[in-house]
Amino acid sequence: MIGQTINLEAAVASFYQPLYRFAYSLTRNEAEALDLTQQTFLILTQHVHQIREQEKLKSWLFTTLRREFLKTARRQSSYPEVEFHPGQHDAPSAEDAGGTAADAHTILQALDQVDEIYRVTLKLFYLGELSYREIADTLEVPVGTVMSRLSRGKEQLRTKIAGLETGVDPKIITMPQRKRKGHE
Amino acid sequence: MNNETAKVILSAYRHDGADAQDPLFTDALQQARLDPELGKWFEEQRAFDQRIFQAAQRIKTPASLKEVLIAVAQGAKARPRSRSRIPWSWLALAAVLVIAGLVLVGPLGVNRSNGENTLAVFQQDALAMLSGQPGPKLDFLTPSLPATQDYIAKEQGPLAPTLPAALKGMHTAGCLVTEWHHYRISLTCFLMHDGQLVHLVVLPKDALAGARLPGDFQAADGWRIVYRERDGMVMFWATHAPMNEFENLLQS
Repeated sequence: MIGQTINLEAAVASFYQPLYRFAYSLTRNEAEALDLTQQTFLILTQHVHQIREQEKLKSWLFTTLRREFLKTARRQSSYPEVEFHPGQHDAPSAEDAGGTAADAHTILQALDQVDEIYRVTLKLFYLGELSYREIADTLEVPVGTVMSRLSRGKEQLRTKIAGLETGVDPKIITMPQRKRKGHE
Repeated sequence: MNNETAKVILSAYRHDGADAQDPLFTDALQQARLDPELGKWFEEQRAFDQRIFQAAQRIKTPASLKEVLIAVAQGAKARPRSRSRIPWSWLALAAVLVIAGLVLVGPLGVNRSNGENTLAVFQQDALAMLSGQPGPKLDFLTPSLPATQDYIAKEQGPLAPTLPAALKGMHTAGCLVTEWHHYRISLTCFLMHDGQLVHLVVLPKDALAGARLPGDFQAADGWRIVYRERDGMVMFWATHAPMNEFENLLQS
Protein backbone atom coordinates (compact mmCIF):
# COMPACT_ATOMS: atom_id res chain seq x y z
CA MET A 1 0.00 0.00 0.00
CA ILE A 2 1.52 3.33 -0.97
CA GLY A 3 1.96 6.31 1.30
CA GLN A 4 -0.81 8.43 -0.15
CA THR A 5 -3.44 5.98 1.11
CA ILE A 6 -2.49 6.48 4.75
CA ASN A 7 -5.37 8.19 6.48
CA LEU A 8 -3.84 10.64 8.93
CA GLU A 9 -6.96 11.02 11.02
CA ALA A 10 -7.32 7.27 11.33
CA ALA A 11 -3.66 7.07 12.29
CA VAL A 12 -4.26 9.61 15.05
CA ALA A 13 -7.30 7.72 16.32
CA SER A 14 -5.48 4.37 16.32
CA PHE A 15 -2.13 5.33 17.77
CA TYR A 16 -2.26 8.55 19.76
CA GLN A 17 -2.94 6.86 23.09
CA PRO A 18 -0.15 4.25 23.04
CA LEU A 19 2.21 6.87 21.61
CA TYR A 20 1.39 9.31 24.39
CA ARG A 21 1.77 6.61 27.05
CA PHE A 22 5.11 5.58 25.63
CA ALA A 23 6.18 9.24 25.50
CA TYR A 24 5.06 9.73 29.08
CA SER A 25 7.03 6.69 30.20
CA LEU A 26 10.13 8.19 28.58
CA THR A 27 9.76 11.74 29.85
CA ARG A 28 7.67 11.28 33.00
CA ASN A 29 6.38 14.75 32.25
CA GLU A 30 2.97 15.46 30.81
CA ALA A 31 3.92 18.61 28.88
CA GLU A 32 6.94 16.95 27.30
CA ALA A 33 4.96 13.83 26.45
CA LEU A 34 2.37 16.03 24.73
CA ASP A 35 5.08 17.82 22.78
CA LEU A 36 6.66 14.56 21.70
CA THR A 37 3.35 13.09 20.57
CA GLN A 38 2.42 16.25 18.69
CA GLN A 39 5.86 16.47 17.11
CA THR A 40 5.63 12.84 15.99
CA PHE A 41 2.36 13.41 14.15
CA LEU A 42 3.68 16.66 12.75
CA ILE A 43 6.62 14.77 11.26
CA LEU A 44 4.18 12.16 9.95
CA THR A 45 2.23 14.83 8.06
CA GLN A 46 5.46 15.96 6.45
CA HIS A 47 6.78 12.50 5.55
CA VAL A 48 3.63 10.48 5.00
CA HIS A 49 4.51 10.02 1.34
CA GLN A 50 7.69 8.18 2.37
CA ILE A 51 5.85 5.43 4.20
CA ARG A 52 5.42 2.65 1.68
CA GLU A 53 3.49 0.12 3.74
CA GLN A 54 0.53 0.79 6.01
CA GLU A 55 1.68 -2.11 8.19
CA LYS A 56 4.90 -0.24 8.98
CA LEU A 57 3.15 2.92 10.11
CA LYS A 58 2.96 2.00 13.78
CA SER A 59 6.64 1.10 13.98
CA TRP A 60 7.49 4.27 12.05
CA LEU A 61 5.60 6.41 14.56
CA PHE A 62 7.32 4.83 17.56
CA THR A 63 10.72 5.02 15.91
CA THR A 64 10.14 8.71 15.20
CA LEU A 65 8.92 9.48 18.69
CA ARG A 66 11.88 7.72 20.29
CA ARG A 67 14.29 9.49 17.94
CA GLU A 68 12.78 12.87 18.83
CA PHE A 69 13.03 12.03 22.52
CA LEU A 70 16.71 11.09 22.16
CA LYS A 71 17.38 14.30 20.22
CA THR A 72 15.80 16.36 22.99
CA ALA A 73 17.65 14.44 25.67
CA ARG A 74 20.96 15.03 23.89
CA ARG A 75 20.22 18.75 23.63
CA GLN A 76 19.79 18.94 27.37
CA SER A 77 23.37 18.83 28.52
CA SER A 78 22.60 17.76 32.04
CA TYR A 79 19.92 15.29 32.93
CA PRO A 80 20.09 14.99 36.70
CA GLU A 81 17.81 12.78 38.68
CA VAL A 82 15.61 14.49 41.25
CA GLU A 83 13.14 13.18 43.73
CA PHE A 84 9.54 13.28 42.69
CA HIS A 85 7.10 14.64 45.20
CA PRO A 86 3.43 14.58 44.29
CA GLY A 87 2.05 18.10 44.31
CA GLN A 88 5.34 19.71 43.38
CA HIS A 89 5.94 18.12 40.00
CA ASP A 90 3.56 17.11 37.26
CA ALA A 91 0.78 15.02 38.63
CA PRO A 92 1.44 11.69 36.91
CA SER A 93 -1.24 11.07 34.36
CA ALA A 94 -2.84 8.13 35.99
CA GLU A 95 -6.39 7.95 37.23
CA ASP A 96 -6.61 9.16 40.76
CA ALA A 97 -8.34 6.19 42.25
CA GLY A 98 -6.38 5.04 45.25
CA GLY A 99 -4.75 1.69 44.63
CA THR A 100 -5.40 1.91 40.91
CA ALA A 101 -3.23 4.98 40.46
CA ALA A 102 -0.58 3.59 42.77
CA ASP A 103 -0.44 0.47 40.63
CA ALA A 104 0.26 2.51 37.49
CA HIS A 105 2.91 4.50 39.34
CA THR A 106 4.56 1.40 40.71
CA ILE A 107 4.77 -0.13 37.29
CA LEU A 108 6.18 3.00 35.67
CA GLN A 109 8.68 3.24 38.48
CA ALA A 110 9.62 -0.40 38.15
CA LEU A 111 10.03 -0.08 34.39
CA ASP A 112 12.49 2.74 34.95
CA GLN A 113 14.52 0.51 37.26
CA VAL A 114 14.89 -2.32 34.78
CA ASP A 115 18.27 -2.51 33.02
CA GLU A 116 18.41 -0.05 30.16
CA ILE A 117 18.92 -2.76 27.56
CA TYR A 118 15.49 -4.24 28.36
CA ARG A 119 13.66 -1.05 29.32
CA VAL A 120 12.67 0.35 25.95
CA THR A 121 11.65 -3.08 24.67
CA LEU A 122 9.35 -3.54 27.66
CA LYS A 123 7.89 -0.04 27.31
CA LEU A 124 7.16 -0.59 23.65
CA PHE A 125 5.51 -3.92 24.50
CA TYR A 126 3.37 -2.79 27.43
CA LEU A 127 2.77 0.93 26.84
CA GLY A 128 3.12 1.08 23.06
CA GLU A 129 1.18 -2.16 22.58
CA LEU A 130 3.59 -3.24 19.87
CA SER A 131 4.05 -6.81 18.72
CA TYR A 132 7.52 -8.36 18.84
CA ARG A 133 7.87 -7.80 15.10
CA GLU A 134 6.92 -4.13 15.42
CA ILE A 135 9.40 -3.73 18.27
CA ALA A 136 12.09 -5.31 16.10
CA ASP A 137 11.28 -2.83 13.32
CA THR A 138 11.23 0.11 15.72
CA LEU A 139 14.54 -0.71 17.37
CA GLU A 140 16.07 -2.16 14.22
CA VAL A 141 17.16 -5.36 15.97
CA PRO A 142 16.48 -9.01 15.07
CA VAL A 143 13.25 -10.65 16.23
CA GLY A 144 15.23 -13.11 18.35
CA THR A 145 16.84 -10.23 20.22
CA VAL A 146 13.43 -8.78 21.01
CA MET A 147 12.21 -12.11 22.38
CA SER A 148 15.28 -12.53 24.50
CA ARG A 149 14.99 -8.99 25.87
CA LEU A 150 11.31 -9.44 26.63
CA SER A 151 11.97 -12.69 28.42
CA ARG A 152 14.78 -11.38 30.60
CA GLY A 153 13.22 -7.96 30.98
CA LYS A 154 9.97 -9.38 32.29
CA GLU A 155 11.85 -11.37 34.91
CA GLN A 156 13.55 -8.20 36.08
CA LEU A 157 10.32 -6.25 36.01
CA ARG A 158 8.58 -8.82 38.15
CA THR A 159 11.37 -8.61 40.73
CA LYS A 160 11.37 -4.79 40.72
CA ILE A 161 7.62 -4.59 41.21
CA ALA A 162 7.76 -7.07 44.07
CA GLY A 163 10.54 -5.03 45.66
CA LEU A 164 8.62 -1.79 45.33
CA GLU A 165 5.44 -3.28 46.73
CA THR A 166 7.13 -4.71 49.77
CA GLY A 167 9.70 -2.17 50.85
CA VAL A 168 10.40 1.12 49.16
CA ASP A 169 8.38 4.29 49.75
CA PRO A 170 6.22 4.42 46.61
CA LYS A 171 5.81 8.19 46.88
CA ILE A 172 9.40 8.85 45.87
CA ILE A 173 10.08 8.38 42.20
CA THR A 174 13.23 9.32 40.36
CA MET A 175 12.55 11.14 37.17
CA PRO A 176 14.35 13.40 34.71
CA GLN A 177 14.45 17.02 35.89
CA ARG A 178 11.93 19.17 34.10
CA LYS A 179 13.27 21.68 31.63
CA ARG A 180 10.01 23.19 30.47
CA LYS A 181 7.11 24.56 32.34
CA GLY A 182 3.93 22.54 32.07
CA HIS A 183 0.41 23.28 33.12
CA GLU A 184 -0.23 21.61 36.41
CA MET B 1 11.98 -27.45 21.72
CA ASN B 2 12.78 -27.46 25.42
CA ASN B 3 10.76 -25.50 27.95
CA GLU B 4 13.33 -22.73 28.31
CA THR B 5 13.20 -22.00 24.59
CA ALA B 6 9.41 -22.12 24.69
CA LYS B 7 9.40 -19.61 27.55
CA VAL B 8 11.53 -17.17 25.58
CA ILE B 9 9.16 -17.40 22.63
CA LEU B 10 6.02 -17.18 24.76
CA SER B 11 7.38 -14.07 26.50
CA ALA B 12 6.64 -12.23 23.27
CA TYR B 13 3.05 -13.50 23.10
CA ARG B 14 0.54 -10.79 23.92
CA HIS B 15 -1.93 -11.61 26.68
CA ASP B 16 -4.98 -10.64 24.64
CA GLY B 17 -4.40 -13.28 21.99
CA ALA B 18 -3.45 -10.78 19.28
CA ASP B 19 -0.67 -13.16 18.22
CA ALA B 20 -2.80 -16.30 18.18
CA GLN B 21 -2.55 -16.68 14.40
CA ASP B 22 1.19 -16.05 14.23
CA PRO B 23 2.84 -19.36 13.22
CA LEU B 24 5.95 -18.49 15.17
CA PHE B 25 4.04 -19.26 18.37
CA THR B 26 2.28 -22.44 17.22
CA ASP B 27 4.74 -24.98 18.55
CA ALA B 28 5.37 -23.17 21.82
CA LEU B 29 1.64 -22.78 22.47
CA GLN B 30 1.08 -26.46 21.74
CA GLN B 31 3.85 -27.36 24.17
CA ALA B 32 2.29 -25.18 26.86
CA ARG B 33 -0.98 -27.05 26.40
CA LEU B 34 0.71 -30.42 26.81
CA ASP B 35 3.28 -29.68 29.51
CA PRO B 36 1.68 -28.85 32.88
CA GLU B 37 4.75 -27.05 34.21
CA LEU B 38 5.10 -24.87 31.14
CA GLY B 39 1.33 -24.39 31.04
CA LYS B 40 1.33 -23.09 34.62
CA TRP B 41 4.23 -20.77 33.90
CA PHE B 42 2.44 -19.45 30.80
CA GLU B 43 -0.77 -18.74 32.71
CA GLU B 44 1.15 -16.81 35.34
CA GLN B 45 3.00 -14.91 32.63
CA ARG B 46 -0.26 -13.93 30.93
CA ALA B 47 -1.76 -12.80 34.25
CA PHE B 48 1.33 -10.70 34.91
CA ASP B 49 1.18 -9.18 31.41
CA GLN B 50 -2.50 -8.43 31.84
CA ARG B 51 -1.82 -6.59 35.09
CA ILE B 52 0.87 -4.45 33.45
CA PHE B 53 -1.28 -3.73 30.40
CA GLN B 54 -4.22 -2.74 32.58
CA ALA B 55 -2.03 -0.43 34.64
CA ALA B 56 -0.70 1.14 31.44
CA GLN B 57 -4.24 1.74 30.20
CA ARG B 58 -4.88 3.81 33.32
CA ILE B 59 -2.31 6.38 32.29
CA LYS B 60 -4.74 8.98 31.07
CA THR B 61 -4.21 10.81 27.83
CA PRO B 62 -5.17 14.51 28.03
CA ALA B 63 -8.71 15.06 26.80
CA SER B 64 -7.72 17.59 24.15
CA LEU B 65 -4.86 15.62 22.63
CA LYS B 66 -6.86 13.74 20.04
CA GLU B 67 -8.61 16.88 18.79
CA VAL B 68 -5.35 18.77 18.53
CA LEU B 69 -3.70 15.94 16.61
CA ILE B 70 -6.69 15.62 14.29
CA ALA B 71 -6.35 19.36 13.64
CA VAL B 72 -2.68 18.79 12.84
CA ALA B 73 -3.67 16.08 10.35
CA GLN B 74 -6.45 18.20 8.83
CA GLY B 75 -4.14 21.19 8.60
CA ALA B 76 -1.67 19.10 6.65
CA LYS B 77 -4.39 18.09 4.19
CA ALA B 78 -5.61 21.65 3.79
CA ARG B 79 -2.14 22.98 3.03
CA PRO B 80 -0.15 20.30 1.23
CA ARG B 81 3.53 21.14 1.13
CA SER B 82 4.90 21.82 -2.29
CA ARG B 83 7.67 19.43 -3.17
CA SER B 84 8.70 21.21 -6.33
CA ARG B 85 12.16 22.71 -6.37
CA ILE B 86 12.89 26.24 -7.53
CA PRO B 87 15.53 26.40 -10.30
CA TRP B 88 18.80 28.07 -9.28
CA SER B 89 18.46 30.61 -12.11
CA TRP B 90 15.21 31.84 -10.55
CA LEU B 91 16.89 32.12 -7.15
CA ALA B 92 19.69 34.19 -8.68
CA LEU B 93 17.13 36.50 -10.31
CA ALA B 94 15.24 36.76 -7.02
CA ALA B 95 18.47 37.68 -5.21
CA VAL B 96 19.13 40.47 -7.70
CA LEU B 97 15.60 41.80 -7.21
CA VAL B 98 15.91 41.68 -3.43
CA ILE B 99 19.19 43.62 -3.52
CA ALA B 100 17.69 46.15 -5.91
CA GLY B 101 14.70 46.46 -3.63
CA LEU B 102 16.89 47.09 -0.61
CA VAL B 103 18.75 49.83 -2.49
CA LEU B 104 15.51 51.52 -3.52
CA VAL B 105 13.43 50.99 -0.41
CA GLY B 106 16.22 51.26 2.17
CA PRO B 107 16.23 55.06 2.39
CA LEU B 108 12.45 55.05 2.81
CA GLY B 109 12.81 52.62 5.70
CA VAL B 110 15.22 54.97 7.45
CA ASN B 111 12.56 57.67 7.34
CA ARG B 112 9.92 55.52 8.97
CA SER B 113 9.05 56.38 12.56
CA ASN B 114 10.32 54.27 15.42
CA GLY B 115 6.76 53.03 15.97
CA GLU B 116 6.34 51.95 12.38
CA ASN B 117 9.64 50.12 12.45
CA THR B 118 8.72 48.42 15.70
CA LEU B 119 5.37 47.41 14.26
CA ALA B 120 7.03 45.96 11.17
CA VAL B 121 9.48 43.99 13.31
CA PHE B 122 6.67 42.76 15.53
CA GLN B 123 4.59 41.62 12.57
CA GLN B 124 7.56 39.80 11.07
CA ASP B 125 8.37 38.10 14.39
CA ALA B 126 4.74 37.22 15.09
CA LEU B 127 4.23 35.65 11.66
CA ALA B 128 7.50 33.73 12.04
CA MET B 129 6.23 32.40 15.36
CA LEU B 130 2.96 31.33 13.74
CA SER B 131 4.61 29.75 10.74
CA GLY B 132 5.62 26.44 12.30
CA GLN B 133 4.05 23.66 10.25
CA PRO B 134 1.20 23.02 10.62
CA GLY B 135 0.97 25.46 13.52
CA PRO B 136 3.04 27.13 16.21
CA LYS B 137 4.41 25.14 19.11
CA LEU B 138 2.12 25.73 22.05
CA ASP B 139 2.83 25.45 25.76
CA PHE B 140 -0.65 24.37 26.72
CA LEU B 141 -2.93 22.27 24.56
CA THR B 142 -6.63 22.45 25.26
CA PRO B 143 -9.89 22.79 23.32
CA SER B 144 -11.30 25.05 26.04
CA LEU B 145 -11.11 28.82 25.64
CA PRO B 146 -11.65 29.44 29.39
CA ALA B 147 -8.79 27.02 30.11
CA THR B 148 -6.47 28.99 27.81
CA GLN B 149 -7.51 32.20 29.57
CA ASP B 150 -6.79 30.66 32.97
CA TYR B 151 -3.40 29.49 31.75
CA ILE B 152 -2.50 32.89 30.29
CA ALA B 153 -3.56 34.63 33.49
CA LYS B 154 -1.56 32.18 35.58
CA GLU B 155 1.51 32.78 33.41
CA GLN B 156 0.96 36.55 33.71
CA GLY B 157 0.38 36.97 30.01
CA PRO B 158 -1.89 39.63 28.54
CA LEU B 159 -5.51 38.66 27.96
CA ALA B 160 -7.65 39.98 25.14
CA PRO B 161 -9.99 42.64 26.57
CA THR B 162 -12.70 41.51 24.18
CA LEU B 163 -13.36 38.69 21.74
CA PRO B 164 -15.71 38.45 18.75
CA ALA B 165 -18.88 36.55 19.63
CA ALA B 166 -18.27 33.73 17.14
CA LEU B 167 -14.92 32.90 18.68
CA LYS B 168 -16.28 32.49 22.18
CA GLY B 169 -17.99 29.27 21.15
CA MET B 170 -15.09 27.84 19.19
CA HIS B 171 -12.62 25.22 20.30
CA THR B 172 -9.03 26.23 20.74
CA ALA B 173 -5.89 24.27 19.94
CA GLY B 174 -4.12 25.82 22.90
CA CYS B 175 -2.03 28.79 23.90
CA LEU B 176 1.39 30.11 24.67
CA VAL B 177 2.82 32.87 26.83
CA THR B 178 6.22 34.22 25.92
CA GLU B 179 8.20 37.46 25.74
CA TRP B 180 8.80 39.84 22.88
CA HIS B 181 11.23 42.73 23.37
CA HIS B 182 10.87 42.30 27.16
CA TYR B 183 7.06 42.45 27.04
CA ARG B 184 4.86 39.50 27.95
CA ILE B 185 2.73 38.45 25.00
CA SER B 186 0.16 35.69 24.65
CA LEU B 187 -0.89 33.56 21.72
CA THR B 188 -4.20 31.73 21.51
CA CYS B 189 -5.01 29.46 18.56
CA PHE B 190 -8.64 28.92 17.64
CA LEU B 191 -9.78 25.92 15.63
CA MET B 192 -12.21 26.56 12.80
CA HIS B 193 -14.58 23.78 11.73
CA ASP B 194 -12.48 22.91 8.69
CA GLY B 195 -9.34 22.52 10.79
CA GLN B 196 -7.89 25.92 9.89
CA LEU B 197 -6.36 27.88 12.73
CA VAL B 198 -7.03 31.49 13.65
CA HIS B 199 -4.28 32.97 15.79
CA LEU B 200 -4.60 35.78 18.28
CA VAL B 201 -1.48 37.48 19.63
CA VAL B 202 -2.08 39.92 22.48
CA LEU B 203 0.49 42.41 23.71
CA PRO B 204 0.52 45.77 25.50
CA LYS B 205 0.24 48.79 23.22
CA ASP B 206 3.42 50.18 24.81
CA ALA B 207 5.42 47.36 23.25
CA LEU B 208 4.85 48.86 19.81
CA ALA B 209 6.37 52.26 20.65
CA GLY B 210 3.28 54.26 19.76
CA ALA B 211 2.88 52.78 16.29
CA ARG B 212 -0.28 53.71 14.43
CA LEU B 213 -2.11 50.45 13.83
CA PRO B 214 -3.62 49.72 10.42
CA GLY B 215 -7.32 49.08 10.95
CA ASP B 216 -8.12 47.20 7.78
CA PHE B 217 -7.85 43.53 6.92
CA GLN B 218 -4.69 42.84 4.96
CA ALA B 219 -2.83 40.06 3.18
CA ALA B 220 0.82 39.71 4.22
CA ASP B 221 3.31 36.94 3.48
CA GLY B 222 0.55 34.48 2.68
CA TRP B 223 -1.41 35.38 5.81
CA ARG B 224 -4.62 37.30 6.32
CA ILE B 225 -4.07 39.71 9.21
CA VAL B 226 -5.74 42.49 11.10
CA TYR B 227 -4.93 44.61 14.14
CA ARG B 228 -7.38 45.64 16.83
CA GLU B 229 -6.76 47.79 19.89
CA ARG B 230 -8.63 48.17 23.14
CA ASP B 231 -7.90 49.14 26.75
CA GLY B 232 -4.18 49.53 26.13
CA MET B 233 -3.87 46.11 24.49
CA VAL B 234 -3.13 45.28 20.87
CA MET B 235 -4.76 42.21 19.38
CA PHE B 236 -3.04 40.90 16.28
CA TRP B 237 -5.11 38.35 14.36
CA ALA B 238 -3.71 36.09 11.65
CA THR B 239 -4.94 33.11 9.67
CA HIS B 240 -4.56 31.20 6.42
CA ALA B 241 -8.35 30.97 6.08
CA PRO B 242 -9.98 32.82 3.18
CA MET B 243 -10.36 36.55 3.72
CA ASN B 244 -14.17 36.54 3.68
CA GLU B 245 -14.30 33.83 6.37
CA PHE B 246 -11.75 35.73 8.43
CA GLU B 247 -13.69 38.98 8.18
CA ASN B 248 -17.01 37.32 9.01
CA LEU B 249 -15.48 35.66 12.03
CA LEU B 250 -13.96 38.78 13.54
CA GLN B 251 -16.87 41.04 12.72
CA SER B 252 -19.37 38.76 14.45
